[in-house]
Amino acid sequence: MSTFFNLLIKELKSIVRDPKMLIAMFVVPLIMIGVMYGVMGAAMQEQVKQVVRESKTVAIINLDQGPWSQRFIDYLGSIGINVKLIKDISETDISDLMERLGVKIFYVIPSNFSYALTENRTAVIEYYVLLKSLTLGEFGLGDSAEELINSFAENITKSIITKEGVPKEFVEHPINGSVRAIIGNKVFTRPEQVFMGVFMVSFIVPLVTFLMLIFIIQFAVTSMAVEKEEKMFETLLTLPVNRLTIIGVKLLVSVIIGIAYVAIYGFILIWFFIGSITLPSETATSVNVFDILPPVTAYYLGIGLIGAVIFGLLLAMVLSLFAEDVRTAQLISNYALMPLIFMFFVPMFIDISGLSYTVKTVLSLIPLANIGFIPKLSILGHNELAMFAGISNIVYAAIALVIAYRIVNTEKIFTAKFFKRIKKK
Amino acid sequence: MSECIIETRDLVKIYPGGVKGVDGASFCVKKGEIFGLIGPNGAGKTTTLRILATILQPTSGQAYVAGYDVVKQASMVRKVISYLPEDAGAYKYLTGLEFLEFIANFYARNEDEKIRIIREGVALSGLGDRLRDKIKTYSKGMLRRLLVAKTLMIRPTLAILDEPTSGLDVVNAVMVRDAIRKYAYEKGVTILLSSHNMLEVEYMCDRIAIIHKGRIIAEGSPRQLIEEHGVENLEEVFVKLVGGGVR
Repeated sequence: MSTFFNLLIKELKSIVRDPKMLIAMFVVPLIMIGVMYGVMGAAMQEQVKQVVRESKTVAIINLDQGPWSQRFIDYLGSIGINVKLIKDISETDISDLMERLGVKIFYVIPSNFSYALTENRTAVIEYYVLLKSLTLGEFGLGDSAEELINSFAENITKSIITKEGVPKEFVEHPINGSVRAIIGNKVFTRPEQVFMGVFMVSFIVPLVTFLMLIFIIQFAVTSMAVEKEEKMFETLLTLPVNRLTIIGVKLLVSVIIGIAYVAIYGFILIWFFIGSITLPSETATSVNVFDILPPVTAYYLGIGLIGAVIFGLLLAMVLSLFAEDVRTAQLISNYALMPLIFMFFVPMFIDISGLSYTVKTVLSLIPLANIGFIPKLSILGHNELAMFAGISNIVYAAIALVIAYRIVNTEKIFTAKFFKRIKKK
Repeated sequence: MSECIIETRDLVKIYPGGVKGVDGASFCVKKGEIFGLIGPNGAGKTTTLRILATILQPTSGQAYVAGYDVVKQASMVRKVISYLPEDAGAYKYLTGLEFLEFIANFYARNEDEKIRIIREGVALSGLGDRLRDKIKTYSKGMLRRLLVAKTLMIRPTLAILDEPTSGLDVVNAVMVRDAIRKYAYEKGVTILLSSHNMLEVEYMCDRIAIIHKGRIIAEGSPRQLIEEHGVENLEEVFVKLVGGGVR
């Protein structure tokens, strides 16, 4: 058996058999995310049902007693709403009344309602919404009550325009907007598709790569720390096997698990969103995003992503050698990754177009995090900065390779300790 | 140099911060002998062994194992040595047998050789059916016997054992010593071990070197050193040479 597979099988056996590793890395996050998404999805569906259920019965006090108020009441009845008519209000507390009637929506039709409509003036219906549980669904009751009024208003409009002989389409949409999105020097007629496409390339793809790298780095550093905790590291260094092979196997296992991890969580995330939110079909992207972005963006992003992956793996290798135990492994990876995570999300929340060229240059040179900047820099016309960003990751990878090589092939692989001085104090 | 499996010349190791781990150590270990490196804590025993095991690199001087330079030909040295660190562990979620197989896979050239190596490991460890249990269930003595077995079973040209019986109870220490001695003589394996147990060294070693403050201050067979210094045992030789200078 080759030394590579010998080490690989040992790694996999250790991971599969170590209950702490399995529980901490897979079972707990899977259960937590699954439960979280499940609960959120079920809760959202339940809230929607609650809104539908609670808006099926409404109370109305008709102070108008005119033809239009009666038409409103009849209209509600015709669309399946259970209407509880109140003759007069003897109770001073409206919430007690609504409680007693078992309704959460209460309409008050004022005395001049029919007169106003007859005179072609805008009429008003006041409504009260009883908030008790303060759940998400309850907050939707207001919209539901408003929707019933709007629906009736639309019904009236149709009647009037039919009577007056005015084209319905004209009344409904006397003015239409025709939207165009401009990116760089290109004009697009479907901005929502453009947005989705740019969002995919400038956020989702770098995010998935970034998350996977973070996971791989953390796993690789922890894996090497476990080697040291189990006191096998010193022995490993004296075995007839290339030291890069030892670390390479750990990285490979980390990459395999990282990809599986991202795939599983990505699947759960997609399942959750598809299950909970129904997007209008027209928002589905059907455009080629690289028709939207400047042509060179794909190359720069590709170079940047490849560089980021290589750099991330080498960073994992170097950091792992400094980890003495699992605790320091977590600290090291946190210290190294937290600023990068922060920087990665910066372009999501700030408008980099307003920043000075110097700041943009600095942002484009931040390792790993700069993959989130590349599409935006390219869209803004700073192709040279997008190129710097892409190439810089390759340069960082090369530097990391030199450092890793020097550490791995010298005694530093054994003596490197990140927290040595702190501990001595 | 041809007679020596290990030869060091003016070996110096200075750690970052200026601390001297080894300060001009020179000695020779001949083929097939059990050689003991003895000295007080901090004398430089472990540093010397780590240099010979290619983990550390000397600041100056030379060290050769089986004729290979430990710095320039480190990968060749690793093919002929087998090293047991003082506080070595093993993969606790593997069984003892799987661990022996894991080590054997690095050295065996074919399946038959692998089986032969594992069989020797099984015999050396003396752990019997417990080898099928996960290592995390082993006592300290059992773990050390397993580690000694994995070190010797591959029949290395040179086995380097750092405090092989450290922390063991009497029964386990005796078992480990006997296994090392028997195997070394039967298979012709050269052994370099460190210890600060004088009785152990006197019992096991053909020759010894006393290291103090990174320097070899005496070298020879235990009997020869005892006679030279006109004392009763190796402990007295050690005290006479090192005296109150233990750091």
